[in-house]
Formats: sequence, C-alpha cells, structure tokens
Amino acid sequence: MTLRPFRTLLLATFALALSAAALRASPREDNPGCDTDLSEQVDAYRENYVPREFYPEPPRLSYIDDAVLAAFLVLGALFAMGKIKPTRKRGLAVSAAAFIYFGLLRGGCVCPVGALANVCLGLRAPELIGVAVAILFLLPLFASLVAGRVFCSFGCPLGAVQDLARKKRFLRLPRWTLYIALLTTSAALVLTVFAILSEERHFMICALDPYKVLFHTGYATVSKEMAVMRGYAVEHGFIIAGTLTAWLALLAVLILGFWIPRPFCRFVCPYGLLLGVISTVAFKRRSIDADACVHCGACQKRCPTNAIKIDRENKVAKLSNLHCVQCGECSAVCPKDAVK
Amino acid sequence: MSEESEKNGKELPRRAFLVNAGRAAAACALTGVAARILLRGSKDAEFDKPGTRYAWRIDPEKCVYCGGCETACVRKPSAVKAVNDQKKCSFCVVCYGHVADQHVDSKHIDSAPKVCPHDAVVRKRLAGGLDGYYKYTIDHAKCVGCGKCAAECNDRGTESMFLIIRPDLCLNCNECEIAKQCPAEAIERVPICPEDDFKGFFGIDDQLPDQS
Repeated sequence: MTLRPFRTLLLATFALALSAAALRASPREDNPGCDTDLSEQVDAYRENYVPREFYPEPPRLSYIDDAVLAAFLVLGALFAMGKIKPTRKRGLAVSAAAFIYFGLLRGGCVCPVGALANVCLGLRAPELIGVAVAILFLLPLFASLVAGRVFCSFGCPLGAVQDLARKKRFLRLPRWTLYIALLTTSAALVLTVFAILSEERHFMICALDPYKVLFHTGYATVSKEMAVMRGYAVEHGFIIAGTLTAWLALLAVLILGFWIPRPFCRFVCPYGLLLGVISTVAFKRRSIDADACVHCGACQKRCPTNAIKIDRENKVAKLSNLHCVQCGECSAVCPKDAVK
Repeated sequence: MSEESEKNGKELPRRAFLVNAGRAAAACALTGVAARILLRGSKDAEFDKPGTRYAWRIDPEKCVYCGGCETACVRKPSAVKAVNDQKKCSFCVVCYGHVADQHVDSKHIDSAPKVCPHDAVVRKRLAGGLDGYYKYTIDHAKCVGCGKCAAECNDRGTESMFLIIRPDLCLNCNECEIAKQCPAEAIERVPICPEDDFKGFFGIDDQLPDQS
C-alpha cells in the first residue's frame, strides 16, 4: 500500500522520459540521413553538374598583337628611311605608345625578345609554339632586313622603357665597350638557346629581363579590371606583381639606364644581336655621307648605342649598323644632313 | 662587322656581292624558320589547328599543397585557385576542407572555425535536413590559392578538392614563378584549355577518354 504511489510515480517519470525521448527523436524521422530518395537527389545533382570553365583570352588577341607590331615596324621603317623626320619628341611618343600597348596592356609577354626562346623550342618541336608567336618573332627580323633595327626603337616595350627613362645628355662609354657588348650579347644568345633546349626548358632570356615586373603589374591590373567588367568573381584593385628583389633589380637598372642609355639593349639583349647582324646587310642601312660630313661629332654625342665613330683628325666617320637602333637622333642633329 | 661609309654612294663590287650574299642568307634563314614553324609537319594531328598555345597548369596528381602557389605567383592574389570537383565530392555533413574541428556539432558548423583563413569555402545544403547532404564550392573572390582546404581534403577526405591555375587569370609568363619554386615539380605547360573544376577532364589530350 505504501509502495503504490512510489510505483505510480516511477511509472509516470519513466513514461515522461520515454515520451520526451520520443519527442526529441521525432524531428529526426523526417531526416533519415541515408534515405534512397536523398541519394538519388544527390546523384542527379552530380550527373547534371556542369563544371565551371575558365576560358583564357582567345588567341586572336595575339594576332592583333602581330598586326599592331607590324604597324609599329612600318612606322619605324618610315622614320628610318627619312620619310618622317625623326625627332626626340616623336621618338618618345612612339616609345610611349609601344610601352603602353605591348608593356602595360599586353603584359610584355610574349614579346619578340622572349619569343627567341619560344622559337628555339619551336624549331625543335613546331607543335610546342603558336603561329602568332612565330610571326611576332619573325616580323622584326624581316623589318631589320629592310630598314635595320627599327624594332628596338619603335615597338620593343623594353626599348621603350629604357628610352623613356634616360637623360638627354648621357654618359658616353668608350669604344671598346662595344666589343664587350658583342661578347655579352653573344653569351646571352648561346645561354638562351642552351637553356631552352635543355631538359628543364628554362626561359633564360625572360629571367634576364628586369623590366617584366613593370609590364606584369600593368597587365595584371588591366586584366583584373577586364575580368570585373566581364562579371567574374574578382574585385577592383591595383595589383603589384613580382617580388621585392625584382623591383629592386628594376630600380637599379633604371637608375643605371638614366645615365647609360639602353643598358639591357646593348649589353644583354640576344635578340638585338640577331637584329643587328641582319641589319648589317639591310637594304636601307644608316650611313654617314663622307663628302658631306664635316666631322663635327654632334651625332656621336647623341647616339644612345655608341654606334657612331667620328675621328676628326683622320677624317673618319663610321656608323655601325650592328649597334644602331635607328632612333634617328643623329639625322636630326646633323647640321649637314649627312647621316641618312 | 661594322658598316663603313660608302664611298660616293657606290659600293665596291666584292663588297656588294658580300652584302647581297648576306641578304640572301638572312632571307633564307628567316624563311626557313617561318616554314619550319608555320607549316609544322608534325606527327601530332591534334596540334595542327592554328593558334595552339601553351598554358601553365598544376598536375593534381603531383601537387603536395605546400602553399607556395599563394606567394610565388607574380599576381597578388595568385592566379591559382582551389576548386571542388562536384563529380567526386561526397557532400559530407562535416567536410575536412571546410571546418577545422571535425567533432563539432552539426548545428554549429557554420559558426565553427574554418580551415580556410579567408573563409572562401562555401557550404550550402543540397538535400535532406541538418544531417543531410551539403555541397561545397570555393568562392574565388576570396580564395588566394593557399591550398589548405585541398590539403585537408586530400589528406583525409574524398580527394575532390584541388588547385588549378585559372587560365583567364594566368599571365602566361614564359617563366612561371610558381614552377620555379614548386617542390613537387607539378607545374607544367600544356595546350591551352578551359581549365574547369572537374578533376577528371582537364583538357590534357593523352588523358582524355576517347570521345570523338
């Protein structure tokens, strides 16, 4: 008798606990976890899923590059042939245009200088490189067969940077540095060819280029803004490409190039050497008219690549087409119009 | 090699001959290079379409998710992004690539600490209730390509997450900075393709199943 209320209490609590447990468990009933319906749903999702694709820019842009380069080269040839009077201002304007288009908008890559490595690779296995790159490489060479190294002054983004960031009255190096330059550029050419044909396929020429961080920064920012316009999941913003070392190297080369014009062109660029060799047999070579020349030496002072040798005592006036970049400063400054 | 001034505008006969020979040699060389590349008499017929270019890619089989891609790329943030292969993902409630502590209650997963330092792994309910199926995607606006999620997923999960170099972001440098420092040498140049978030495909010709 005494135990009965106890028993009822015990039963009641047990029932309560059970119902509470049942109540707690009840929401799980509509969520069984491994139901066949659900896995069918998942399978359907998996089947119908279309992977997201990240298309690179179409290669036709590279052909536009070729066309723009051709336009620059024709302009350069007109300058070199004297159809347009070359002045420092006009040269700077073309340099700035080349820098903005090939450098900032197109990232300076693939540039004809770097394409040297691509083409070496392409000679071994043609399927490894694109047609547009080959055209990019060959256009300046054909142009140099016609009118000399016009690419260096009109169209080369590297040349443009060096041209824009130099003093008007610079330091003139002694003549023997030309031989050093010949040696270093040849070494760079041999190194580039060997590096690209080695197992690692190392793009030596691109490693030697100190100006690429500038181009990459411009291109990265431009391409990012383009991506924002196309509606990709990217935000606005300025991108600084490259490491601190790369920027310090750029700074050092720019400072050097302020006093010594075109340091990369003259002492490193293997493509410039190729262009120069072809320039020596070009149809329109720059030369000094020995009869008209008065050996004043004005052109010699203005030549950024040290290609002119004027000896007043022995009445010698020489111009090396191997080194001349067809900037036209000499023709502009000559009082007798002897440099053509 | 230097060109001397020409006397009275006329070249000496021998000199003229040499110059002409040089011109011919240069023209021949250039035409030869052009012919070799443009005609491309190669064995691989699939490379024959014009404009075939190469792009950088991470081999997901070799990648060790070291995190170098985040810092090495010339782009900041990196052109390398993580993706989740939806055809392979198990749609788990608790994802190794998503939450740092896998023992967390399924109610609190969304507020729990994440593997991704930038919270770029997006978790959305796919089917069922709280303990049903979830799909995981990576928000590329936040992703920096550190590969932490992919490392976890490949370590303990279903190996569905992996890193890609997005071709639309890649600057296609001749010398890839990531390739230079990659410890697994997983960065390689392949024919350009729309690299997608489906691990099985990848556009590499020799690994594609025969579909044509």
